[in-house]
Amino acid sequence: MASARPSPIIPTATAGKTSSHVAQKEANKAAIFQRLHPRIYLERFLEEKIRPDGRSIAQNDEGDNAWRNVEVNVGSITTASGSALVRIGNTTVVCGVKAEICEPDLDNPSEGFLVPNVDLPALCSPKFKPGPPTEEAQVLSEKLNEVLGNGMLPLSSLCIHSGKSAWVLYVDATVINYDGNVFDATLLAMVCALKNVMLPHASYDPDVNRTICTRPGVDPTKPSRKLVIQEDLVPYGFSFGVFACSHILPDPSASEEPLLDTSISIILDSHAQVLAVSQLGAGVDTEYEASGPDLDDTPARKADTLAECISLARNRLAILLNKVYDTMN
Amino acid sequence: MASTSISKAEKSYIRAGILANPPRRADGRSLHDFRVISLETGVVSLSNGSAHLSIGRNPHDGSGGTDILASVKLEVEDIEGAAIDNGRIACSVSCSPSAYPHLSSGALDDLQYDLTQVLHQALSHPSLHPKNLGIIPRKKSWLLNLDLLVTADAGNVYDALFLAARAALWDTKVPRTRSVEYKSPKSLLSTSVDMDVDQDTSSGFDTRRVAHATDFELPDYWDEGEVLEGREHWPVAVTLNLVESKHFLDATLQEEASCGSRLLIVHSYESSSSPTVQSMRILGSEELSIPHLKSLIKEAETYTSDMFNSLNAKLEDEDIRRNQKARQRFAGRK
Amino acid sequence: MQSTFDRRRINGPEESLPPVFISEPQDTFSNTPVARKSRKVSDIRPIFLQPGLITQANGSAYIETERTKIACSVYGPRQSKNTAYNEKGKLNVEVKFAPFSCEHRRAPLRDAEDRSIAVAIQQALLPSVQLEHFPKSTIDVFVIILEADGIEGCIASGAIAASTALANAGIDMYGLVTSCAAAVIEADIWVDPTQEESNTANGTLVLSCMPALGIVTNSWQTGRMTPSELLACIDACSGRCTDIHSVVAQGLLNSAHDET
Repeated sequence: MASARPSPIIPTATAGKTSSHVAQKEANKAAIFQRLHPRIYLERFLEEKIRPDGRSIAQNDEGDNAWRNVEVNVGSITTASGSALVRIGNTTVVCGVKAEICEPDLDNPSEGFLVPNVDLPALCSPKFKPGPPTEEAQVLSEKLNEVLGNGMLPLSSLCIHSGKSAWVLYVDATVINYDGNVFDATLLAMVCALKNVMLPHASYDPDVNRTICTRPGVDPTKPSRKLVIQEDLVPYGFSFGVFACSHILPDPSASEEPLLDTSISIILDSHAQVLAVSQLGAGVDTEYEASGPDLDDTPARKADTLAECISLARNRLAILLNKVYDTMN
Repeated sequence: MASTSISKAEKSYIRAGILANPPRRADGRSLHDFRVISLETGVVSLSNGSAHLSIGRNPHDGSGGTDILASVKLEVEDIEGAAIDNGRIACSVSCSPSAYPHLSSGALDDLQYDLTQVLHQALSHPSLHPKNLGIIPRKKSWLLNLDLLVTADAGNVYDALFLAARAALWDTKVPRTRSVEYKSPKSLLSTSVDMDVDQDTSSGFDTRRVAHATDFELPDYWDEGEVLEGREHWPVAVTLNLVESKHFLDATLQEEASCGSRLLIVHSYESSSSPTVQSMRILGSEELSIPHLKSLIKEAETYTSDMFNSLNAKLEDEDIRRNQKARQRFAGRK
Repeated sequence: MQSTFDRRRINGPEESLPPVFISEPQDTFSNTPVARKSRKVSDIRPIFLQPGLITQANGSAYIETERTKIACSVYGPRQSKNTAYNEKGKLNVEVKFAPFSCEHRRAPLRDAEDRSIAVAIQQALLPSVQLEHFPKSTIDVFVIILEADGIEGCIASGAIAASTALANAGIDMYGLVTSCAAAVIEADIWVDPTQEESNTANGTLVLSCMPALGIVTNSWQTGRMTPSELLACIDACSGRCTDIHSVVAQGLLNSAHDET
C-alpha cells in the first residue's frame, strides 16, 4: 500500500529484480496521485470498502480491524516522575510528568495543580514550524486540560500542607510523529504517565517555611507513593472522522484528517459511560435533512452518527483497557 | 559568523596569496604576524575593571580596526540556600549594529549569543574561578558581570574578545568587605579582608543556626580593592585560519570570508612554560584531518605564549599607571 | 521562573520549585569520581540506533545510549523563504529539550543551552553535507532531546542521530558523521562520560569526524586539560568514532533492506 510519505521513494539499486522495480514504479505513481488528488484518492479506496492504510471500514460488529494498533510503554524516562510512550499506528507521543512544589492558590488552599500541555514540535510533521505553540497545539492542550480536570485525580490529594505547600504536576506531552489522531494518543499517554508517577514523601516544616522530601528508598518509614487516581473517572478518548457525509472513519490518519467534514471525539470512562463528547465541523444528522434534492444520490446514513460513534467507541474500549492493563502490570 | 560577502575572484586571489611561496597578504604581513594591538585599562570610571582594546587600528588617523570595550561590574548577590559560596561569573558579549550593518537583527542576536557562549564557557569554568568572590559564606557573594561590547569588527574578533576580557579581569578590583555581626556582644565587629572571615565559625553548615556575620560594610581605603585571585590564569585565545595545509593569524574580514575553517584555541598559563587548554572550537566547513589538527594544536602554543608574555608586560605597565592615578584621586578627595 | 504566564499554554502556579531532598547522597561540589561498574573507562555506552522512525519526515533517526534518548528528523531540501539567493543550500539545526528531559523541569522557552547544542551539531554536520547541490534550499534538522544525561553525550548522540537522519533522507553527503565525547578525570581519560562523570571532570572534549575520510568536523572542548591530554582525548574519541561508524552504517543498511 502506498505510504503517506511525502518524500520521493529511494530507488532500489538492484537491477535484476524487475518485479520489485515495477511495484516500485506503481507505488510511486500512487504516491504522486495521492499528492495531487488526495480527495479522489481516498474516495476510490472507500469505494472498495478499505482505507488507504489497509484498515477495513468500521462496522459495529467487527470493530478491531478498523483501528490502528496501540502500543504503550511506561516509565522509560528516568528524569521524569512518571512517563509513558504511546504509539497509535505511526503516531507517537511521549509524555513525562514532572512534580514540583508550590504554594497553593489562595482560593483553594488545600489543592494542588495539574498542568497538562502538548507540544507539536517542528520535528513531528512538515506542517509545523519552530516557534511558539501553534493554534492546533493550543486547542489540543485546552481540550486535554478539560478532560483531565474531570476529577480523575482529586487535586486535594496533591496537598502537602494546607495553604502552604502542594504538589504541582506538569504533564508535558511531546508528539514525535504526527500521523493523525493525536488527541487519543496524547490523552492515553498522559493517563498512563500519571498512573506511572511516584511522588517522594514530602513534609512541610513550618519553622523554616520549607518542604522537605525524602528520596525513595532512603527511609522505609517515609515511602514514596503513587497518585490517588479515581479509576472510575479515568478518561479514554476515541476520535472519529466523517468523510463525505457517508463514511465514519475511526482513528483517522494524517492523510485522512484534512479531508474530513466532521471530527468527533468520544470520551469514555472505564465503565464505558460517556464523560464528554466533542464535535468539530457540521452537525452530521441535520445535514441530511437540509441537503434536499441530492438526498437520493448520497448513500444516506440512516443511523444517528453520534450514537454509532459511541457504540463503536464502547466496543473499542474493552480492547484498549486490556492493552493498557497488560503494560501497567 | 560575521562574513562579508566577497566575490569568488577576490576569494581565490586571497587564497592564492596565502598559499604562494613566499606568502602574500594584502597588508604585507607574513602569515603569523598580528596587526598593531592597542590596549588601555581602567577606561570606564564606574566599573570595577575595564579595558579598551583595538586590533589593527590605523596608526595615523586612528580609524578602522576591531574595537572592543570590556567592563567588569561586581554586584552583591543573595545566595541563601544556593550552593555557590564563591560567587559567580557571567559573561555577555553585545555587538553594536553599526559594527555589523549587513546583519539583520535576528542574525545579530544569534552572533551575540554564540560569542557569549564561547566566552562564557571558557571564562566561567570552575578551573579558572577566582577564590575571592565570596562575602559572607552561605549568605552573600559577588556576581562578576563581564560585559564586552564590539563596536567595530575588522576581523579576528575572537582573539580580540579574549584579550579584552583578560585585560578587564586583570584590572578588576574586588572591594574589601568587612563583615558585621549583630548578635554576639563581645565582638561587635569582626574585621576581615576577604571571605576567610568566618572560617572559625562552623555554623555555616548548620542551617538551623544563623551564621554570625549578618551583613557587611565597605571600608574606605585608598585603592579600590584587591585584585582577583589567580588573575594571571585568565586565558588568551588564538584563531588559526586554515587554507588547505597552511594557516595564518589575525585575519582581516576579507581574509576571514575567504578561508573555509578556523580553529580557535584558548590557553591558560599556570607558569610561563606550559599552558593548559581551556577551550577549542572548529568553525567552518573546510577539510581538516586528525594529524593536521594535532599539529595545529602544538603550534598554537607558541602563538599564545608570545601573546601571553607581551600582554602581561603591557598589563603590568598599566597597573603601575593605574595605581598612581587611583592614589592621586583618593588624595584629592580628602 | 519569573512571569512565565503564557496565554498560549496551560499555566500552572506562578512559582514552583523542584523538590528539595534531605540527606543528599553527595554534595554537588564533591570531586570524587565514582568508578564505572558496567564498562571500562575506554568504552562507550551501548548505542541503539533506529533510522526512519518518524514517518512524516523525509528522514529520521532515534538514538538511545543508556539514559540519553534523542529523536531527530530531517525535512527538505525545501525552498528557502524570505532569504536572498544563495548558491549553496542552508543547513538549519534546531534543538529542543523536552520539558521532562532533565533533573529540573525546563520551561518551554528557548534557552542558551538549546542554541549552543544546535550550533555544535550544525558545525559537526556542515562539512559532511554537499550543500552546493541544493541552491536556494534549506535542509531542516530538528532534534528533540527526550532524556539528557550530560551535555557532551547530547551533542555526540545528537550529531550521530542527525547524520543518520540526513542519510535516511537521501541527502547527498561526503560521509557519515560520528561523534564521541571524552573527559579528563583526575589523570585518566574517560570516554563517553555521563552527567555525573563530567561534573567531576577537569575538562571535556566532544570530537565529531567522518571516519571514512579521516576528517574532523567539530571539536568542542571545555574546561581544563593539558595539550598532551587533549591529544590523547582526540585519539580516544577518533578511535571510538570509527567503531560507531560501523554501527551507524549497519543500522542504515538494515533499514534500507526493510524498506524495499
